[in-house]
Amino acid sequence: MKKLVALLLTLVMALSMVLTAASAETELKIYLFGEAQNMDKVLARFYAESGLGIKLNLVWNTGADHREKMPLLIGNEEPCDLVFDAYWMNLATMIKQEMYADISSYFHNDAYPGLKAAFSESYLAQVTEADGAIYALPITQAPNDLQCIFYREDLAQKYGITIDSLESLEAYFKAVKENEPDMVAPLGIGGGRALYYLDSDIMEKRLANVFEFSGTGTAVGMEFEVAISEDGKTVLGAGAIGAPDAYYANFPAPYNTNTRSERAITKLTKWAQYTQANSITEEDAKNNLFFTGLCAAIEGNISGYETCKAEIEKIQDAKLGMFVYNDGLRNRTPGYFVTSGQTAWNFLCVPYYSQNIDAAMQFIDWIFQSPENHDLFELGIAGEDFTLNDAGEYTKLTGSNVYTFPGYELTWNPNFIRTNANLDDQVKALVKYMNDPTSYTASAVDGFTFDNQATPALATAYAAVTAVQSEYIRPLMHGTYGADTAAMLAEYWDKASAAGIETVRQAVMEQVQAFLDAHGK
Amino acid sequence: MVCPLSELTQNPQRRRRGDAVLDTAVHTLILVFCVLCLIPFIVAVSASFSSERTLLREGYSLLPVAFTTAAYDMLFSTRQIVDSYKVSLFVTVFGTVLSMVVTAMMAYPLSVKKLRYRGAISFFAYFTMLFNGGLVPTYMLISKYLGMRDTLWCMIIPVLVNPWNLFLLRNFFSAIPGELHESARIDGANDVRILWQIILPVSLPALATVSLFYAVAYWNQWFNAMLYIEDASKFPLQYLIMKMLRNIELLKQMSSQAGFAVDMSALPTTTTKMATAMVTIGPIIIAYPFAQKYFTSGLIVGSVKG
Amino acid sequence: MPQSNTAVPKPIPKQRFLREMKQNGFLYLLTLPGILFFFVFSYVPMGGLVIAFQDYSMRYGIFGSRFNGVDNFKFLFQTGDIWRVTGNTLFLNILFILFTTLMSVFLAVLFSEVRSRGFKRITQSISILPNFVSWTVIALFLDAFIDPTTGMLAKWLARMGYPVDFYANAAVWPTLLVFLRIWQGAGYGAIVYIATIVGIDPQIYEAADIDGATRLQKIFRITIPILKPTIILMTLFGVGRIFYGDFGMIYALVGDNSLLFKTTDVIDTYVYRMMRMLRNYGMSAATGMFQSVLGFLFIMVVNWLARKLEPDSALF
Repeated sequence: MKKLVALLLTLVMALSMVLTAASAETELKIYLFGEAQNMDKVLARFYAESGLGIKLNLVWNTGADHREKMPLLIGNEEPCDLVFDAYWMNLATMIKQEMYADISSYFHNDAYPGLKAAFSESYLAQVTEADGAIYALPITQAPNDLQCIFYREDLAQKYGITIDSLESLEAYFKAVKENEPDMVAPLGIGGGRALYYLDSDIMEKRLANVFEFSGTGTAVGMEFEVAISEDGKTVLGAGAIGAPDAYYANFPAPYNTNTRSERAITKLTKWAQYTQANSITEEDAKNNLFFTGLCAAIEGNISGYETCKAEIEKIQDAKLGMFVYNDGLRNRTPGYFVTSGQTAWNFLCVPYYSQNIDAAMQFIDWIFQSPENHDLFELGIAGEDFTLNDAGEYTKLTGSNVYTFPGYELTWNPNFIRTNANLDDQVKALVKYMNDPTSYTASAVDGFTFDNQATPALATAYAAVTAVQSEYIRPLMHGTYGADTAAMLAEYWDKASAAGIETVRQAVMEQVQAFLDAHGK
Repeated sequence: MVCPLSELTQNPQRRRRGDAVLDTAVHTLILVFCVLCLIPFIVAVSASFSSERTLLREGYSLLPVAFTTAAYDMLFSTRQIVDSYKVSLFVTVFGTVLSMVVTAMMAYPLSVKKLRYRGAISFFAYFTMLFNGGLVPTYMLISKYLGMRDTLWCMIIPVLVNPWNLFLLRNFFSAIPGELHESARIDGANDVRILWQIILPVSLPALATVSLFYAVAYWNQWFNAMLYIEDASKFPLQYLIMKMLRNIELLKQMSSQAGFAVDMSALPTTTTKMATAMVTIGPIIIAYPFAQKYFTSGLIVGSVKG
Repeated sequence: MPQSNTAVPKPIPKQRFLREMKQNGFLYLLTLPGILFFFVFSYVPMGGLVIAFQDYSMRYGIFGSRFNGVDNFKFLFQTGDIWRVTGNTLFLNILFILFTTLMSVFLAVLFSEVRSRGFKRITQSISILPNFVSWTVIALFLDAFIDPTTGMLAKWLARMGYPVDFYANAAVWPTLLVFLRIWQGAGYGAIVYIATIVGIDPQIYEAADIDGATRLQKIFRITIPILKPTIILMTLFGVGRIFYGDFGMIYALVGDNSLLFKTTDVIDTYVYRMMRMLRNYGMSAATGMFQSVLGFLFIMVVNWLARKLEPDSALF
């Protein structure tokens, strides 16, 4: 099958070359989600400077629409040369169903110097199939975003608290809870995100070769934890929240009991005291609570710092503070970020039938040929949309005519990162740490994705387990069950077992093992 | 018949008193229902004229907090709203007319009792409400085989006849007294003339009702626009608000993901959502009283007979 | 049995068909555009239902995909939950049908008793307003009332000594949903009945007046019986889709708040959560099939009953 596909692709490629040669201008149809503003001037400059004879026809879908209609559109072989996809959209299914073209021949190819410079082998490892094929072009800057708590520095000062540990964070929450009656809660959390990784040891576990895999894109808490031997060759076991301790017997100490359940019972219920009632239904704690001064802290990522700062400073006398709750990351320990599975969250793909695959890759190649080209698409026109300082850091200009573009859909790349000139030193240092390759440790499971549809039995069990999880995981992750947490965990595990979670667990272990066997170094 | 004297004297009084009580009750109940209907709208209109920050902080109320027209200014800052108004108007007017023609043509025969296969045809139509092929084949049909992508037709033709409306109209037609047909037939009228000169004129309230249902459905339609329309100048008004709301939906789910770095603050604000909702329902509210004229002029059946 | 045929003894089907066409050809001609519409836009895509029995491949399409028996249906029955959510779906839909019909008829009768045209026109316009708001926006409205800290209703109830935590109390949701359903749809639903009442021959009422009937008597003896076929028709329509939960409504209002699933989870929301991250067209088609077949069996029984009770309003 693969050979046939390859053959067909070669034919398509040959044909497209003939076509590109024949017509002076190729129009690329590109489907992205979200929106860009004032893009015409950037396109005009691209047309003038590139001399590629490529015209871009960008179609912007709404996010949910994009996910719903792109499989239909591509399944129907409608004109489309580049499409945004991700594991949280349809990527896994689309690749499995052979809907995307293999683009591996465009990398490490001297005819495409930009791609060669921007996409190193290690960066591409996450998308390289066992047979060397690449169906998706990863778009990301740092492999990981830094999780943190944003809080009100002005309030912390008011109560004389310096937040530098989980204890002082709790003291801050306590002070706010007792002294700020106008606030809904000290810590505002949102429905899907819940308490996230606050007070968790996910990074430390990864250092000990314990990795978490979700069935592509489910909410936090639903993942399986898989322990791998130190040599990176054997799966030692797998567990999940609610699972009996026996499943963890082979895990490296101190993770040889179910620490997930433990965290839910003790830590999450503790932190839940400081979150708002009905946090489960809160859609957007950041906008609704934090920015309006109704709560004193939220969980966030460092990439959201700028927006948070601007919004918080609109509140009288308010100042934004930021606290990275993981000790190792806060202290910027080298190698503390261990990658696992997919590090990129966003991808671009070429549908299998596209006649313009060369032109599509030429376009992306052009972006990465020079920092100037890259700046054009990421930031706009120098002097008009942004300025650079001597250190090469950018400042975005404001105005109604300013170009904006969601870089996470096209331009983000670890080798082409520009830092915002206006960040505080503390934040800038953390951003630099996050973007620095030496902060990362590669792992044996880089590039692994769980195929939840591998067999009919798995697909069936997976769907049923998802239904059970959707009922319990969210309250668990919000600490809603309080003193009943242990009992609810047991109830959850019983129902999940009836739904076939063991089938899924076995499949996770088998697939990870198969991946290790195929990619073993 | 001879009535007892007491009844003749008491009845009108009692009836009048009863009428007064009934009238009061009727008016009160209607008013209560209307107030219940209106309150959320007043709240929404106020919200749309409020400042976002104050709204979220102080909660909803019947009057705008910190009055501002910012939400509307933003909405009307592009041509999009105007374009979409045109699209929605065209689809609604043209679609309703076309739908009514086809629906009435089908509904009338199904109401004629002498028609042997009317049961079968009714079943044929009803069955489509129970079973449908689903998204994949429908998409393929409309997009690939009928080539309706990016045309206004894709919002009209695939939803041309609604079985619900078809049966409704059929029932209205059935309610027309049989004598009306019979007398016409005796006068030598054929089916064409019966339909055109008798049935349709006496069915104006029914036709107005079903037209209204079609118009509302066309006006509220967005799903087909989402699937088949790419050219923003062909977006109907409802799709604008659905786009807005659906965007939030996805980001809400995705914000729980590690590393999903989308700037949530770029999402539309509550006030914008409210303002858009108000802008999209406005026109149909204005159009409704015109259609309503026909509901209240229902003495036609009697007058034709007389 | 149509009278025209009783005269002919045992006609063979083909003859009967031709004869019928000759007699009523024009009427059949009228139905043609509609039949064509249903054929093209409903029956042709219905071929796609085979996806429910396929390991569907987008690349190779319906004709190139492998059949996998009933594999796609298994996920529905993996746990017993499907019967619980089917129960919820039925229960909620029955409540919806019952109460919206009652309220719509009630409103229609009320409106028909109003004499002042101006009052009628204004109030009736107001009563259909809620129908133009999508459930997503209604969810926003609702929040303004039941949010435990800022909601007007929740605050008032707490003051009265009956604090209700709406977002954590599953028991109140069926009532709340029915209330919202009435709020959203009763005024609009009344239109059908109003149109029917308007069409009633005034001579019938005049005759009743002569007999000395009170207005209440006229309502119960004349208006409501005349509404009966329409009421039955409307109910039949609801019944046909009784196994389809109102996804748009329930997902917008409840979302992923699992504390409320006990009473609010319907087939559509349940399956949606399972499928959210699986783009499996086969399983989706299988779910639709499950709901359609149940609905089909149900409607056949109910329609048969309807034909017994009120032949005019049976669907087919």
